[in-house]
Amino acid sequence: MSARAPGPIRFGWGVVAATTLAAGAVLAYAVGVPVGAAVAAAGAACLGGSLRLVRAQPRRVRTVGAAAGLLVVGAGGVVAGGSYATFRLLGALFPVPRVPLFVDPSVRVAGAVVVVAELAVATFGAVVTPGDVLRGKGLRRWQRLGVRTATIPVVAAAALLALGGLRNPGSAVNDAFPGPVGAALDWSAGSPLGTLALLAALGGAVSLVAVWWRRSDRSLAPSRRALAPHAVGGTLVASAALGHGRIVGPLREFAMGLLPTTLGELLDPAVDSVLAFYGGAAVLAGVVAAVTIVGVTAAAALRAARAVGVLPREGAGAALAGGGLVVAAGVASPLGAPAALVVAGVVAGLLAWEMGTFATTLAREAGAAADRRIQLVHLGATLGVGIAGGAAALAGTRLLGGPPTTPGIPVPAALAAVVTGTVLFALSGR
Amino acid sequence: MTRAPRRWEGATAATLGLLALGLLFASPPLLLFALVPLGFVAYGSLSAVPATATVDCVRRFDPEEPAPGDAVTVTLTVRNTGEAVLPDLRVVDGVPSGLAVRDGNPRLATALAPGERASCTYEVVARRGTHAFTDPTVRLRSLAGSDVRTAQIPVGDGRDLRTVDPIDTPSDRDTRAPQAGRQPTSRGGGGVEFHATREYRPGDPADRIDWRRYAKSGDLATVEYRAGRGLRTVLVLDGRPPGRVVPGPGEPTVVERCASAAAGVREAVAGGTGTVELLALGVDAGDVDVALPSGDPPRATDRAGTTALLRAVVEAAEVGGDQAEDAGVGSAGGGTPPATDADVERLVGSLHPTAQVVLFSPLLDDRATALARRIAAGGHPLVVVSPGPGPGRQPSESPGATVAALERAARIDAIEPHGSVVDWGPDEGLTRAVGRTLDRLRRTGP
Repeated sequence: MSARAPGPIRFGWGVVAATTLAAGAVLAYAVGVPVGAAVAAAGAACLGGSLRLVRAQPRRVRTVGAAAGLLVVGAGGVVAGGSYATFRLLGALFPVPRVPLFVDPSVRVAGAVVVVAELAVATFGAVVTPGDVLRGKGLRRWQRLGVRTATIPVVAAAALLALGGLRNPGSAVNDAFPGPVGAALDWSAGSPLGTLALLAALGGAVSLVAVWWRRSDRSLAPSRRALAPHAVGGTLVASAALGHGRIVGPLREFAMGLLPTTLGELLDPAVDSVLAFYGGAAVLAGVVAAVTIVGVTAAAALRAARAVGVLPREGAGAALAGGGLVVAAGVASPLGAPAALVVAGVVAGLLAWEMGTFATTLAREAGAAADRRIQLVHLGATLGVGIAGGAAALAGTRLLGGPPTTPGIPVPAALAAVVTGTVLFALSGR
Repeated sequence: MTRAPRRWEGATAATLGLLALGLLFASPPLLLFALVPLGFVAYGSLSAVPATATVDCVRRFDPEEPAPGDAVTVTLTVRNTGEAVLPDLRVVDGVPSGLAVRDGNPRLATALAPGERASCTYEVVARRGTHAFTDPTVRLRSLAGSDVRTAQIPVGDGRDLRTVDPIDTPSDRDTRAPQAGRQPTSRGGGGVEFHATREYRPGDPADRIDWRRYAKSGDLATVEYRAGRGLRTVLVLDGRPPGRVVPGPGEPTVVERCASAAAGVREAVAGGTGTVELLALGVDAGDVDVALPSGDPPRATDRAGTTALLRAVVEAAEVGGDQAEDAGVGSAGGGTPPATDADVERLVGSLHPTAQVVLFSPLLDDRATALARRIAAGGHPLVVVSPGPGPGRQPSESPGATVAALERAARIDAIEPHGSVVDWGPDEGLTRAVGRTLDRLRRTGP
């Protein structure tokens, strides 16, 4: 489905995108994490874009390089969004006056992080829904791209962290490298140029091994497109080694500014000692490596989910979009989101799920022959059922009385709801 | 056939998820929110294709009896004959494997109210023979998409697409070619064009007497018209391997199009007063099952002989064309070696001195250009009918195809000073191409 999809099919995919965007924005605002969710969603969109690029043109060097870059940016965005939301809520909800009051804010922070993560998942799903990108070999190629992108950052971060440990005065193995070797190690860890030289030496050694490998077995020779993600990873590490002085300090100040004062005062010396022990370059390289590992983990998790059948073979993107919205709405409810917004989020999630799946099967079975009428009929019916179900749920909530988190709701009512739901569920399953 | 797809499993999962969250947080509203996905699950379970749902299908071909290579527009119309709305109707027409869809889509997906109809229109390229379409496959889904019924609906008429074989079917498409078979002479005699007057001889028909002159002078004179003599038209069919290519999947070889055009011109000229002779290049008796007429190159003048020769050329090309299609569209098939200079000289030497020649060739090699020039140099009026192997039918032409098209255009330019060239594009039908050829013959004749 590389060709441009016909209008009616694009309409279905457009419904998925619009629903995800609107419901995601509403839920993020209701939970109080609009900025973090927006950053994470942008990152997830980059991840989806990376996957689309790899699937569309897996053999073009530039495309593969761009996909690797987007993968890192996307993973960074998701990590940054989640971290920002966490720090922001920690700063807003803590400290608490008494220890027993510690649980509720902690649950709120954890719930908000789950909402941000699920909205990122939903955004990723909406981006990969057109063309059913998660189908076929694209995911495997994307995971391979992630591994290649992460290789150099992970190796370099390990090397720099080890070097930081070696040159530390307190280290037991510090005295094992006396004289010029020790001086060279000190220089490598102490200055950006030295770090870069060390990384270049490491890279040279790896290249020598690669050349030897290539000579011994030409079938294993890496192609240019295979080297492109390595180049992206290497560039990131080199940037971290050269620019850590200008990045680590402001980043640390920004993060500490978000945290509550007491927690900041507690963490500040620890961060100081870590930076002093390993060095800024090693820590920043570690962060870069962690971000790339997040990208690889996302790809691996998606493959595993597809392999065990959690993700459907067809319309997996729509399932991610819809499922992400439903979970985000469900978690937003105990966090204090208004009932109407939660219901709207659930309806939107199911609508996105169904319309995305419908458009995908329609594209496979009819392609350009499909007309918009069939989509509109299905959209109207699905929306109608969703609105009816939502109205019933809201009416039930009002009958029970009070906002969602109001204590004192009679337990029998809750149990009755559970029993009714289970019975209806069993009946409908037949 | 009924199939229950795994639909609304997401809603089931959402129901369970919200119930679990509700229990985890002891939140009755969350339990109530599970009603939303539960409603979808119930909707999926209760939704079904109406038991009374029926449709009928009608398929039409335009033209109903095309010639090989002609574009045929197929229209499949589906009507909801039941009393229930069909919210999701998907149809795939049963196009025979031997025919390739050139334009449009043999599929349809729409919603139909009772009595309403919808159509899909697509275009196939006709190949020789009879092609049986299978019944269209109709799939009905319920409103929720959870109930699916699939069936093949008989279409009644419109099952078979039969092509008219121009090789052995006399054409009634274009009979405007009687003049193409007459060559005027310098002698007086029977005809239509004034030649001279002469002294009246007893026995001259009364309608030939110049009565105006008799009225003026009283002398009897007889009007003579320019006598015509039967013109020999020689059709040279280039069936050599370079032309055994197919413009696209499911389309006839270019040589087959040449043969079809030759048959059309044969019918038109023979239907007049002319004598037609057919010569074929590039066909070997060992390559085909048909008995070839005698001669080197093989030639025939009678209807049975020319038909056998045309069949032999098509058969030889089909073998090469199938090989080409297997190897990739546009590749040339193997087979008989190309004509040599000696072959060309032998062919030109064997032509009747007053013959006008129609050369049917795709002009895919320089040998064809040399042949055309040599025929023209022998003083024979020449029309070249050249069906091109492209461009246009393939969505993306390869650089090689572009180069081949440029070379062919250069060959046409090289031939045009010596004769008239009918460049037969892939989208032009056989009838029109034959008509253009006859027009050129009328203009090019001696």
